[in-house]
Amino acid sequence: MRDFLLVYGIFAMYYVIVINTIYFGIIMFSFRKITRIMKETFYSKYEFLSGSKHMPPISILVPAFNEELTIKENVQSLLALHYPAHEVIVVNDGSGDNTSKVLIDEFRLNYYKPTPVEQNTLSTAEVRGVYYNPEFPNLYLIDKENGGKADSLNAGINFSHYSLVSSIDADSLLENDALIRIARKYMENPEEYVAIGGNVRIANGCRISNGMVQKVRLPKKLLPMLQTVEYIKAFLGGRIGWSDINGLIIVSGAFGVFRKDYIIKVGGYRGGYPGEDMNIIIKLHRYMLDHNLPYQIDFCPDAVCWTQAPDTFKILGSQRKRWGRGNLKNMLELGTRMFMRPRYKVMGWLTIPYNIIFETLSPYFRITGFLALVGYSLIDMTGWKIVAVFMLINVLYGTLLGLGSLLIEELAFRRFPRIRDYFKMVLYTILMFFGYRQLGILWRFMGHIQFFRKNNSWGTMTRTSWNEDEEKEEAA
Amino acid sequence: MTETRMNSSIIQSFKHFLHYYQASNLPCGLIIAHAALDQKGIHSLITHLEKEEPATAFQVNYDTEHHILGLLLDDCDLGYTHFYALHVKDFLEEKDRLMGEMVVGNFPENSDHAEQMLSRMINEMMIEQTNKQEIRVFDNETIQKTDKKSVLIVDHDNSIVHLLTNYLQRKGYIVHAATDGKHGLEQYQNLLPDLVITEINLSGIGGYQFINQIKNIDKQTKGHSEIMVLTNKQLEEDIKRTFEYGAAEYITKPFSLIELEARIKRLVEVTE
Repeated sequence: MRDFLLVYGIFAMYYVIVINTIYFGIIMFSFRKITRIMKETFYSKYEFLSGSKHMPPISILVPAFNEELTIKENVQSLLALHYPAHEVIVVNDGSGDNTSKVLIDEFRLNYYKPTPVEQNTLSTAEVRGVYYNPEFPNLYLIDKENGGKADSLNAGINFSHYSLVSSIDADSLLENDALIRIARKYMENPEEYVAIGGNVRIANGCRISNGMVQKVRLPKKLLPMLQTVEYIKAFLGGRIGWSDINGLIIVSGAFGVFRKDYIIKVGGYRGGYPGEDMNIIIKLHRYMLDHNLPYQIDFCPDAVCWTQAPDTFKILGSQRKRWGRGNLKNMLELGTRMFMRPRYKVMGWLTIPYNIIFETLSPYFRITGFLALVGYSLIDMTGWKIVAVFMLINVLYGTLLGLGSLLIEELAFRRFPRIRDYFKMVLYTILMFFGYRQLGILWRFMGHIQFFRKNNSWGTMTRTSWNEDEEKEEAA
Repeated sequence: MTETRMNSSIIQSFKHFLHYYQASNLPCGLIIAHAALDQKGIHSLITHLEKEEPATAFQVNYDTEHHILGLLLDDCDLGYTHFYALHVKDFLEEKDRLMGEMVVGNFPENSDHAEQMLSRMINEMMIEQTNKQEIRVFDNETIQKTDKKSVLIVDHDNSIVHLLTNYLQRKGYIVHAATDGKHGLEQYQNLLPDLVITEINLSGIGGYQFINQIKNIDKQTKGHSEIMVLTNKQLEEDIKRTFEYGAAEYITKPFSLIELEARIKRLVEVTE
């Protein structure tokens, strides 16, 4: 019994080391790619491009469910994006609050009957009406029955006029030049880019006014701070590297640009479960590889979207459980069919196996492994050294990866003006391994339990108005 | 000299009050005087006024940089404001502190925009500094008669703002600038410049909304400003839309300063 616990515990530790080693490889790819990205973006004239005739028009889809607090500022800042030709399509997903009314009043929108659904479109819940005002020719509001986020995106895709669509969360803010940066990337190879993701950063703590982040600051609260470090690691350390080998498995739902024709070809967004943003990307990979089409799914780290991170354990937990459920569903539904299939190249050999073995299944290995080690050291107190050494290696390795990601941030972006912000981030990179990571794994596990018990709600999410800071300022 | 005029501390300190009067549609009187006062002088002025007209609530601010005394009277008509100004004048003359003219104005009798009226009153006083020690009633039209043209530049790009500000100032225009749409509108409301040069790519509110709001303000105040669009946007669709919204010129970046100035001249000088 004792030996079994030790062997299993050590196996689990090696498992963690392998994860970190793969991640280390990915970060190396990130470093390789970031130098190229820096050169590209440094010599591009985005201001000039923002008025160019040669930029493709983009339809921005904003699915909105109970967003009355933030929707007005959001739409205003989306309409003011620096881009030659774009339309903003807000899809009200049967909100119970005044989401529609706020917009109708603000922009004096008029009701129009929905046009009957045409052939070759995606099926969605019933559209109740379209609202429009010729004074704001780039703004549409679609009012439809509740059908979930994926359903709203599909309805937006059906309605959109342009061949590129961009999905944006109603609670996030795009930087003025975010769209033009992604579009420039797209124009490098319009034939092959089927999806490009933007960088998501955490706005808690930043000063926001006029629908723009004015001053970049780190969050003051613990949870958003940990998430800031986590996002930097995931986006800069992870996604840049994955995109370098064309193995990106997700384009964040908060901000991404897609070729509409291919989204329709793969059947649009899948409803019913969370994780529709990962789902669509896996489907795109599969479709392109099945049909032997050259393609690329890329990540554009300089196109930034700011989002509000949950700052309570309850809401963060519900978000992470949702992610856990979505991830499990995607892996069961799509992952298993691509697992180790040579036809799917990087996806089949690396991305999917990595995600199944080291992401989806990780709670099981980690939790049992941890219990085994604890059990072992209880039985044999002299064995604690092995346990401690492994734990230390785990933390050091993880910290190294975190530092690598911070280095990319510092090299290429330097969004945080104060030096002490970097020290603070380094501190939290280490702190992350004492409690936060373990909690994340637990939440994912609980998400899986929810999945098997068929609990499929979206969970709670609260919003605070973006204007909070602004109002305080005015009062001062 | 004239470029700094918006920074008068009187405007800053009365801003919120005027906002309040305007929003709740309550009458108020404004008196400004070109006078040299120190802390003690202001103090004795206040006691003097409290003795003479105890029933009236008032606010005092003194702009030490430009030597302007500003008084805001609560709930009174133009006649009373003028009467009150006589008290102030008496006091200042007695102490030999009055350096030039005094201007009185009343909301809503002289102007339907209280804040705008104050900044114009101060502007006038600083542009035409006379030695006549008289009380003059603010005339809403007078500002149009000054021959210096004023320009408001709205662009998110600081280097463009700097370049244009320096260039146009040297050419004899009075230049104001804002870097986003919301700020631009505020400035417009207070200044009513002869010409607005704006980018379409703005933050806060977009360029089209900005132009639209300017036109709305113009309708309310029966004023008129020419709008020139100076933008990165090169699409025909944008050009068409801009003219539909009522802009008079459309220039795309990169642009030539000579051409820009020629077009500005044509707009603001021919329309007289």
